[in-house]
Amino acid sequence: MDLKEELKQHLIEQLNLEEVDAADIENDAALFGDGLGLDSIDALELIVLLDTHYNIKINNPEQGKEIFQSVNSMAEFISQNRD
Amino acid sequence: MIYIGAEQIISSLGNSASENFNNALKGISGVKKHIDCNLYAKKPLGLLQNFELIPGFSKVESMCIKSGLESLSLINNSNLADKWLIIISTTKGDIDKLKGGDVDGAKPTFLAKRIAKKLPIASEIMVVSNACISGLAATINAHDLVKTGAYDHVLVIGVDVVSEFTTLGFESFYALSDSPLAPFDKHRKGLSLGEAVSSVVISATKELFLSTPIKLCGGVTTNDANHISGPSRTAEGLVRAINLVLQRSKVEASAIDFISAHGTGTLFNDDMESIAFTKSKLDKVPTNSMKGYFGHTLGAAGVLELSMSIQSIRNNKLVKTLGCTTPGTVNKINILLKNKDIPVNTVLKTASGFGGCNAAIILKS
Amino acid sequence: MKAKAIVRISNTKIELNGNVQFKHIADGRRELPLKLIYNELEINYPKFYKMDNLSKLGFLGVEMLKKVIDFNSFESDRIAQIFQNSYSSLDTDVVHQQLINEEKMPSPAIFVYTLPNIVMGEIAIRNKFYGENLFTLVDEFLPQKWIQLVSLQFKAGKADAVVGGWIEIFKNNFDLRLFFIDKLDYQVGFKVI
Repeated sequence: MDLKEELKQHLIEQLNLEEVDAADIENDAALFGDGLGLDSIDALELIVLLDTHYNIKINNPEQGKEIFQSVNSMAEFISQNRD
Repeated sequence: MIYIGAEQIISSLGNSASENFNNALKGISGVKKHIDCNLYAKKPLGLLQNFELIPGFSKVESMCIKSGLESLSLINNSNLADKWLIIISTTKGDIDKLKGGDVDGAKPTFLAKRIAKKLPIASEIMVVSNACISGLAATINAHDLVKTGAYDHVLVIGVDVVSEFTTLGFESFYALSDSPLAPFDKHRKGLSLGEAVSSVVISATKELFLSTPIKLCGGVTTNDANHISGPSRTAEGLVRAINLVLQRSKVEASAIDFISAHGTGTLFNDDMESIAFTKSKLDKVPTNSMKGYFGHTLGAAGVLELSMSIQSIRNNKLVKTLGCTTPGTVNKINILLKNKDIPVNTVLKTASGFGGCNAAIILKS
Repeated sequence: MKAKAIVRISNTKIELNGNVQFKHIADGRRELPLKLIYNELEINYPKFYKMDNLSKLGFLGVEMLKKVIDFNSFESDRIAQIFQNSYSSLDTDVVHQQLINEEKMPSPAIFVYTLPNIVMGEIAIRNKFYGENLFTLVDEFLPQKWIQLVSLQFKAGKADAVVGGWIEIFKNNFDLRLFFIDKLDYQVGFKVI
């Protein structure tokens, strides 16, 4: 599976987005703000997602603001940092 | 009139209310990095030192029994036969029992029953578990129960210990500071956890107490109805609690001598409190957080910090906000940076917690 | 004191004021029917899926109450919440503990629910309840003792109504006994149901 599609599945599962389909999530759409209604706890859960599925550890949650902007930015970060 | 007294504290700073207060006056902190211990968090913690367990009882049980016994020794023993209630205030109780799969042992009601059996009062028991406002919520409930004559006296015991369960949980929120917490400080980076037990007795019978009790004017709890873990950015929940308690106690904001704030050292909580105190016209009132001395003791915090506030009233002394060097919150409030000798007659105590809850209590000499 | 409305949700019952609701769900099934009730109530509230079971149970109970009670007829900070159980948040605590035991990264979304009072936070957010809220732990539900706590709110002038009762959940066993008590009914002095 393509990384971005895989990521969308992980997002839906990790964040309990039960009424959302992967097809509903645009690659470049803002994850926070109106779109998916994500909040501060979701931002922390995304850090857990990176660790659990891609073995990437984030030490400073502030880094999350840039990394988690969209599926595209997440995929880029993962490609650059996974082992 | 409802009274509060017989205050008792066992913490990282000492084993009695006066010992804790005197050590705080000296600027001693119980919050330290424990690098030589095999602990699950490499962060500063306010741990009890050299605490002896009562044989056959857990640490939490031993803390409560010792503190409860001490507190009851500060009242007339002829009143031990009256109608009592014991309220245990705790967020997680003996949660470490869960590691080995002992669910029933981890229930706070189980803990409460074992504690009550060792205290010299025949009493009903209740546990209040309301996140970080538990201690104040328990005290407010005690006040209201005594006021309506449901019980003659209530012993409130607030307790929580530093546990792997809670420490790792707060770590997942990146909430724990690498250095000891700095409440209301410009450069604050989060909270430090601590453990403690504190007991107080609430009663309408002034003569119950061996030392003059303090007047407990009542309290209020509210909910932000905004977010389950972040405090409201406009502080409306805490503002509501403060305004209602002032109104119902018939106390003007200008009559408050001292605020014992929640002050956890997180960016959001301390900012929120500064907004709340400003909106309530309390921004000039000498204010401190006591968490720099003990760490954030969760279910014990409300009772512990009330006990310290009672000591402030008894001694007409305010302790500084240990850990704060340069105050820096969204709104400017009057954070105590030095101990202060002033008449302390009317005190506002506040707290806020996960679940959007807030509490405010007024004490008077 | 008479309750203006009562909701029961348990392994064998889903009732509103004694009337069976969603009979096809309440047929003695052993698993939690929370998602099924949510669907039946046709609520659009995606946050529901993020809640733990204790919060889902309380949230749904209050949604059912809304079929017969108009919360808007009360001031938003004059409805108090008073809930009790014996298992605290242990249903979720064991999940957090399991992650720790397996040396996995703890989940903040799970940890936040390891406090029993969060259910009141969720109910408050949904219904804009700004008033008093108290969660106590007791061994078993004694209606007279719960009513005593309710009466404190009215006697102290702190609330005009109370929502709450017994909310117990652990693994697949659950029991919600949710009451709505109006101060006016308290003053008339009926016997509690």
